[in-house]
Amino acid sequence: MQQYRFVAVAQDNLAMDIARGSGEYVTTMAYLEGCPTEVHDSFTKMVQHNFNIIFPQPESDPETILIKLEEKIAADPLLAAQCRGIS
Amino acid sequence: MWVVSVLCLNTIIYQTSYALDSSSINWQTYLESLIEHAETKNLAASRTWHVLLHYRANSFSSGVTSEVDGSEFFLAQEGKTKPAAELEATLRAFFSDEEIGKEKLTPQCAFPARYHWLDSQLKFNSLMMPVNRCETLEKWRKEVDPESVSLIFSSYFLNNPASMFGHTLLRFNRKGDDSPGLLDYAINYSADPEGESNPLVYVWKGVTGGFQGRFAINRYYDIVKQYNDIDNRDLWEYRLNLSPDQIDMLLLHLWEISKTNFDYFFFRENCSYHLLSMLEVADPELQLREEFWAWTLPTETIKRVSDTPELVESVTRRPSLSSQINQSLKLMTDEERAYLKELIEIDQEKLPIFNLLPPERQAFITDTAINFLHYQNNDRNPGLDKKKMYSLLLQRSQLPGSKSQVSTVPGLVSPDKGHDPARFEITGGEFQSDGRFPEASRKSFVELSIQPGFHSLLSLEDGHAPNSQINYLNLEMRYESKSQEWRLQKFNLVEIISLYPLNLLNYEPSWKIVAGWERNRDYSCANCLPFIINFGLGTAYQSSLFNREVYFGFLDINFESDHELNSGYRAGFGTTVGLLFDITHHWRIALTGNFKQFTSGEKGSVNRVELRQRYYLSRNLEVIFDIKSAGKYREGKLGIAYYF
Repeated sequence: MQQYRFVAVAQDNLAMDIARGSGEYVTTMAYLEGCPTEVHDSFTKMVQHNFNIIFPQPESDPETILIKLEEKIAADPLLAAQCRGIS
Repeated sequence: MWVVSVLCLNTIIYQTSYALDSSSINWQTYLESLIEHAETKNLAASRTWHVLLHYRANSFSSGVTSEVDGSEFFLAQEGKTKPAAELEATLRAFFSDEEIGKEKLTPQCAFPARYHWLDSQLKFNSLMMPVNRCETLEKWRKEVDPESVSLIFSSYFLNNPASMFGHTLLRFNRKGDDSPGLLDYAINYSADPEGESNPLVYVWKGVTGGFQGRFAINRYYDIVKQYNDIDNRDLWEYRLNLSPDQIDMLLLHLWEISKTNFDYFFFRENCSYHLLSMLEVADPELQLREEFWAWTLPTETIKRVSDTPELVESVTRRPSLSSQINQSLKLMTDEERAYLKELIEIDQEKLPIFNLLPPERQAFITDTAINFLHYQNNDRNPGLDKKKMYSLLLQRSQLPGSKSQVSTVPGLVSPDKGHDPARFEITGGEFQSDGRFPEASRKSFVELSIQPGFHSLLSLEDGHAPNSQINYLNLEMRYESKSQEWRLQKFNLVEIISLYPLNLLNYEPSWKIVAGWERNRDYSCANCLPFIINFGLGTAYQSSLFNREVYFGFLDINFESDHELNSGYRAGFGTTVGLLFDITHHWRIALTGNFKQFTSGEKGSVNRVELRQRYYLSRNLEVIFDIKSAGKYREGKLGIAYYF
């Protein structure tokens, strides 16, 4: 729920931070997905690399973004083990 | 082990006896003794009680009145004006489990700050009175979980009269190093002018307290989006030095105050004023509100807090989107700026590739282009090219991750370091009104000027919005050697100038508006004092050939009314051109030329040229040297001004 509201409000900034592979919006997203600080760098690299999947089109809706993002976390062995999505 | 079980057993027996006795314990007697104790200690007169209830001494009679206007905030019928009655009613209410308010909370849970403080003073005996568990409150406290509090100043936004002087809010910085700041909570006190579209009614209600003000609690990312991104204002964050107990008190009081409302007054009881009262709740020793009796300027509250010893721990700035872009532009070579322009302007989804540059620079240029599109694409301008943005983001995601985001801009002065708002000026000089300059025709004068606020084009810009002027209620009196009497020279209601230099980012127009009385020195009506309205729309450009130069031009509409004018008025069009020139940081010059053509009422035309200079000896002290020519009139003056 928290993630959803964050993505809905801050979607533009989040997309920008994910595309450039740095910034507080992407770190906040990692935090909301329950990823510990040690894996934030891996999280950031992973989402930047998968930008086109997490944001499949110019105006993606927050639900799609979250589903795609969490699929990608689940598919990444390190992140899947470390991040425990808080809802 | 044995000892522990005996202790536990003891506790159980104790609780049982309490449960058995509770119906027979005379709560009433204890309540009466508490009330008596509170009276003996004179708690109703204490500073903390007055701060918690927002009492303020009446201006024209003895006694106090609370600034809170919602009746649900008071437990006594006359609580708004009777601190002792309210205290007694509060104690009585704490013995009741009747659920009150919209949220159906018991009085103990609805007024936790009062409970906390009265408990600390009277040492409540939990065996002699009911103790409520406040689950929603505890949940909320845990959610906000503050480690520290910051006072946030959102800088000036000239295009909205309600934000011209800036805005303040409070931020609770959450505990834990890994908790991201964007998830912090912020308290924003604001009026809710929803549905009020008539600007005159809006202003009237704002001045007379016709709107309801409330404290709202938002996530900090909501605040950043609104102020930083959409309104494009810098956020200055003043981290305060408050103890955990003080922060807790602030939080508890916020809980009780956020359920009620105040009448919102633009001038005094506005956002900044009520935030000061929140800080006084945290530390009742602080006396922050006292000096604000007529109006409360957000910058002045920031200064008041900064000047309090050991209250501010650190100051940081979160730059607005346009500040970030401007700073990025400065860090680019000409070649890079050309790439940037291409990236922004090319109207296709296939973006130019600039492979010759190292990937880090490509990333930096693309980041700036993205920021720029974001700036154009915000809620003020919905529906801009989302596809273009998307292809830029896709391209960016192929480039290496960066740490190159601009977060600081050197040389910026925080708003608490700006000059003070009110200004007093004394000048002396000579004038002559027939165009020649024979010694005999010159007359000397002395002039006094006073104005309550706020900032002029030529004032020192540190801590203020650049290239702007907001002056109001400026009164100028002149004593002339010939007539040997004091005469009103000028009384302006408002004088706002907002120059927006054009650049890659900005093509917003510059504008100005002037309304007030000003003595004329021109073709007819050489000594009358007409009421003037002037509105101008134009443009500005900034260069840095020498230090900093701003050129501006306006097309004006003018209207002047005075019974000495033929048909009582004159109206028409005009132009204003000018140059603002900073010789050094402390030595500023403005050269302006102004032409007016009156085509209606009394017809005619007027030319005016002015050269004004200011030299700053300190942030509040300036030396003035002005010369002016209007038609055949010539004038020169020299003097000083002091801001206070």
